Amino acid sequence: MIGPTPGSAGTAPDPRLPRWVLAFLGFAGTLAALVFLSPAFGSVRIPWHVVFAIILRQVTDGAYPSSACGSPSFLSLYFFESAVTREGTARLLSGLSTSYGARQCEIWTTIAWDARMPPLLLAVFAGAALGISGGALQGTFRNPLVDPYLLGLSTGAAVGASILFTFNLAPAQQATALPLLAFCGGLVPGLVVYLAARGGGRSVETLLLTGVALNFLFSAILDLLLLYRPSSNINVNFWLLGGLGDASWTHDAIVLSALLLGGTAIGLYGRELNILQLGSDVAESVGVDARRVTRRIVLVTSLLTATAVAFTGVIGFVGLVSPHIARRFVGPDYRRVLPVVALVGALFLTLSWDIAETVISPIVLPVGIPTAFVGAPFFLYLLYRRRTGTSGSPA
Amino acid sequence: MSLNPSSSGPRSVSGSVFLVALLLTAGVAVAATAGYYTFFPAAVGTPAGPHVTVVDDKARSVTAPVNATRIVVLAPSVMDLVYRLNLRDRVVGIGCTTGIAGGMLNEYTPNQTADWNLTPGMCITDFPSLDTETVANLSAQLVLASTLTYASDIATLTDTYRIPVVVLAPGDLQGIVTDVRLLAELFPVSVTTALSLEAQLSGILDNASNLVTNLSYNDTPAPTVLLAYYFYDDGYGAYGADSFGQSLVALAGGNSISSNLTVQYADLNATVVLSEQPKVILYGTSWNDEWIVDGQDPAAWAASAPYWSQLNATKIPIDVTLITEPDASMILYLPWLEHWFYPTIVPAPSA
Repeated sequence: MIGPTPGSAGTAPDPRLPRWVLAFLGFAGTLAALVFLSPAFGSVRIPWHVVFAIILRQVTDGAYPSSACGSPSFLSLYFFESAVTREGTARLLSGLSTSYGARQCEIWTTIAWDARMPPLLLAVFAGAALGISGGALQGTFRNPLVDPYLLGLSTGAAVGASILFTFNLAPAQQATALPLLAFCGGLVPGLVVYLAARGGGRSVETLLLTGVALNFLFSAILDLLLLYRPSSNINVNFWLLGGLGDASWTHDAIVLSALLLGGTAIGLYGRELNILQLGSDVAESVGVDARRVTRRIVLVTSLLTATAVAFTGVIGFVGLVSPHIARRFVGPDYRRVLPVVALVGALFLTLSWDIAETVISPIVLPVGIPTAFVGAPFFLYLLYRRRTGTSGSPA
Repeated sequence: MSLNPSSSGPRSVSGSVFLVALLLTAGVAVAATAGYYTFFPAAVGTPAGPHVTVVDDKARSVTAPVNATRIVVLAPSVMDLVYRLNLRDRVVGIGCTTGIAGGMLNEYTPNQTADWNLTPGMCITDFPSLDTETVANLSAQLVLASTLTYASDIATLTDTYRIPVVVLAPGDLQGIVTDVRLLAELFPVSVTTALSLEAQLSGILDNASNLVTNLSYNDTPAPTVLLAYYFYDDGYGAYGADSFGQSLVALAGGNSISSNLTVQYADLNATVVLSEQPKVILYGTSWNDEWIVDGQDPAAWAASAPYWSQLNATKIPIDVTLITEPDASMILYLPWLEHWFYPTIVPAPSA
């Protein structure tokens, strides 16, 4: 059945919330909790209740909370923290005040809000963008191994970034030129696949292999650039491993805009993606223009991925693993998979960023390392679990 | 959902609806996020009080508090100047590669650590990037950076935390004297000490210049010199054009055999050294060279350098920091080089 609907005709309505709603709420709640908790961690540890106060104050009125660190309204959270951390308990038992002083509050506010929040939100938005792109591409190509990386979108962006490092632009120019070149580079493979899809008569397999070939081609160009200017290797390598440390509010706003735009556009195709799972012929027979859907999905995911990786560098596994996780919770219906996969992608990248920031603090790992360390074993687990018939569903 | 197209089957999204949806969402998205482009101002800033605007070695105009009481120093060369200007008590943090084995000793020699009273607790990780959060958490009022400080870290300190960063990256030996003057502008409290140090350093540079002029006037042949900061199986790590090492040799009246190298730090093939037969070899010894860490004598360690026994030269080990770190100590060391190059003309410095 395409697009299974809980409580279908002939059965008594289930008073409980549908599984996919529960999954959606669960992922959304976990993500929200992570966004509130994550700014507490890093090379400078900030108490949870202070972070909570800072975020709420910033979101509500934008004023700097000179007294927020000891605000009574957050006392309950303070007691909660005191109960679960040894340091907090000691402080509570010693009867110390919750106030940390205005100067310390100012510093913590800047660290938690101005320094840690932009990369954190970039992780949320870019993770959602990569997740939904991966989900849509897997549905379009009816292949569970497809992700933006496989189609060469990420490698194209890397070539764009490498051009900048190779020609060694001034730092002031880099801030603008790097995301722009990476965006343009990431767009090229997507546009080629899009144009190939416009030609007509080409199967999804042909389009997929076109993307794979482009991926190899861009990898070769990347190697050539690195050989041309070996001194740029370290910059390119760091970029290839992904990083969120240079994020700003402007970057967040741009990626969020792209996410809202692209995510909505992709979301419109949930039904069509469901029907595409039955094959192009069946889709055509019920009035779905498979080629047009493919073209548009490729175009939108290219824009979305290029925008995300332009600011994050190459980050693997998010687009590949997230759809598998989402489908395990909500089934194969793409009308449900797409919003949930965005949340899963956001959660995955946010968690990876937290790991990158804390595992060998104060050194911050490139975020591509924890995504690979977490993503690869988890992906294998999902694959083997599905092979043994325990669970899972096709793309 | 039925597959029958005649029933309430799937509807294909038409091009116009798709386009309108895209544009609408774009508009909503941009409107919703427009406020983020001019977001909240940063909280951590410089304290109230008198400020001074200086132009640093990167031609950046920086406004900083006068006589800042909490400063972070990101390089040993800068720390050397800070210490000589009696500003050590104001230093609350130093840049270190704490994530790599050796920690503070990767950047500061045991002598520097002891003389400047540095402790591991002062370390702020500066590689692969600077731990800017800790700098902010230390309530630093001023950061003194070097040429090795990443531009992105400077941008974070100045843009996010509003902490002024002054880059001390002298381009030549005279630039070190200029940096002393720059610090005096930032710390008028040390102006007397700074003037004295500036006069001393300028005097040494002037004397060196006069020595070279006199030697040239008297047709005294300049000794060929190899100044090496390291050696490998098949070559020596030498100083090329525009390096401080090259400038030191030239100012002391030597004729460097690596002056033709076009990069600042380059490998000089051992056979070239053998054929050039330099009269003086100054080889850098580093406090964390594994041989020296194991207790081996620098001279015994250097004996394993390529063609070492066939090089008939005056061979002198020197602390590598004195020829690589552009600070006052580098200039103060210049008279020793003059003495080694011309032992009969220039007496050994008194201290």
